[in-house]
Amino acid sequence: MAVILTRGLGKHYGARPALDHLDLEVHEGEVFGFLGNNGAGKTTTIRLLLGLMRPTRGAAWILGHDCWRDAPRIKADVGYVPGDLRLYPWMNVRGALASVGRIRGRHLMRPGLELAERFGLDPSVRANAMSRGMRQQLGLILALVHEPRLLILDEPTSGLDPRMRDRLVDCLRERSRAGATVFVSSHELSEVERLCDRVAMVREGRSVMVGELDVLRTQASRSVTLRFAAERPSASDLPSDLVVRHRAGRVWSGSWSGSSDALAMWAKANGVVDFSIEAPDLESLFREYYLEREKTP
Amino acid sequence: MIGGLVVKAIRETWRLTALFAIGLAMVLALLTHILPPLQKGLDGLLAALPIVRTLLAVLLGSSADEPITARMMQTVVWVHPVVLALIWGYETALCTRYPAGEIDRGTIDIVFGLPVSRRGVFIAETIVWLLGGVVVFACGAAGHAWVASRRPADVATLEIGDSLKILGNLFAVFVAVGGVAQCVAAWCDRRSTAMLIIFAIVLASFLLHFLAPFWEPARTVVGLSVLHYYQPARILERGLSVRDLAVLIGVGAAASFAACETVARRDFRAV
Repeated sequence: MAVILTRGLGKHYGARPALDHLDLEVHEGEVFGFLGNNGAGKTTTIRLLLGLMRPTRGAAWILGHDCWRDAPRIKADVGYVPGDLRLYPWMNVRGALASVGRIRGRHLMRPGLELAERFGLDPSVRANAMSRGMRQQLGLILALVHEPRLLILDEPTSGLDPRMRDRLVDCLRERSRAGATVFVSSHELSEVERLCDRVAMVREGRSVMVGELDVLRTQASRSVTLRFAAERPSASDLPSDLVVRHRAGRVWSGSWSGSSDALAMWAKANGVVDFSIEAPDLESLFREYYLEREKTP
Repeated sequence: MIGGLVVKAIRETWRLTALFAIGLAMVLALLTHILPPLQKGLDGLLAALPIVRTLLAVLLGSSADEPITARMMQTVVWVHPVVLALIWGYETALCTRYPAGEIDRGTIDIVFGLPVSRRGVFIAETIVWLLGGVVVFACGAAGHAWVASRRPADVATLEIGDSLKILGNLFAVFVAVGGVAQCVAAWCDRRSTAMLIIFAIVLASFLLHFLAPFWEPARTVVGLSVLHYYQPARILERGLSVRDLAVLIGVGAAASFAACETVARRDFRAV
């Protein structure tokens, strides 16, 4: 059973579509990255999943329950950290755990204090005296403390220092190994690459790509650098798999979307004395699937 | 779940409740204290300035040609504009907390990251508003009773039963205004906008009540004013009006129900 399932999910703000026909399927135990630029529809999707907004069309389900109709029931199994996290000024770790524990009907003080210790967060500091990073930590503690089956994190690392980011990644990986599903929205590509098994990219409210990172890497073009023995005469002889982005004398760089063997053969026949080819990273995937297609209407 | 939400709301509002409760107790104690000396020179003032007499009659709910007795004057403390402003100010602050206040400060995401229903949060907030109202009213009444009990025996004082009837009617006004305030807050994303709209409604209602004796168009719609259903002089004369109570509580309950259903259906966008 899919932990998150959306079918034709759409949301309009007046006449403006914020999300258009989004189909997603996130499986149990998966760490799923949800990528897109600002305004692409990531936060709208998350608000629809949490039942904060009603879809204009289509539907979304979490753990088999309709996200709009069964929102309170779903949230018993979900931990959520909003992108722009704002806490009540009175909240400190202890107060927040007591309050959330009462509402969830569970004793959360002990596991919550353990998490606070792990994150190095002082349990007595109130939210109005916390730095942005500390508030983010408290938000994460409240999302993790009841050991949810699904974690929905909107830009979870914003405001965290590198040490805290490492701890968060470790923590999320741990939860994933224990069977929890993690849905991370981000535009920090390195973060997603470090953390996620599968990703989806959205652009202008539409899903432009969904897949496993490893598979996508094999499909994506790779960065190449070519060093010629002499000046190359013209660009008309170039193979269609090669896109040259930069020429500096005899050194060219760009992307290659064919096989490595084919590049090697072409290089040998065309006076290339040296070349390097790199494995595609999420940055190049993002550029390819998102930014470059954005240029074409 | 609702218990936890009620505790959370009390935690966030108890200071405000304490502040208004103490404020109302002090204002009512002061008004009760200064009323007898003021009353001595009042007859001359009312004879010299008929407009003041008319306004006072409107405030108390007696007819313009009816004499204002010393007993009627005791009810002034319960309709004094400062008292009404304190009560309405308190409930405006409480009734705009959800959803407008939560959306405005961005904490709606924290609330609905928890397994709570929209109606559940609404009910919890309504319980806290009504409980807070009881506390504020009780403190106000205590302030009034404490000063009244120290008056000389020859000074006219309201019977406890009459005071309670007036207080009961005033609480019905509190319910009606609060219900409308919840309804306004249910449509707003900004708390300040909700508060401004409620202030405008309450002010219009207040002015309508005072304009009615002087201006025919206002007289035809005076039934829209909340004070039309709260007339202490009439309570002293004829007892509590079931019709007035029914209208006030009916309006409050209907507006509150409409607010709850609006909240249950609306989008909570990030602002």
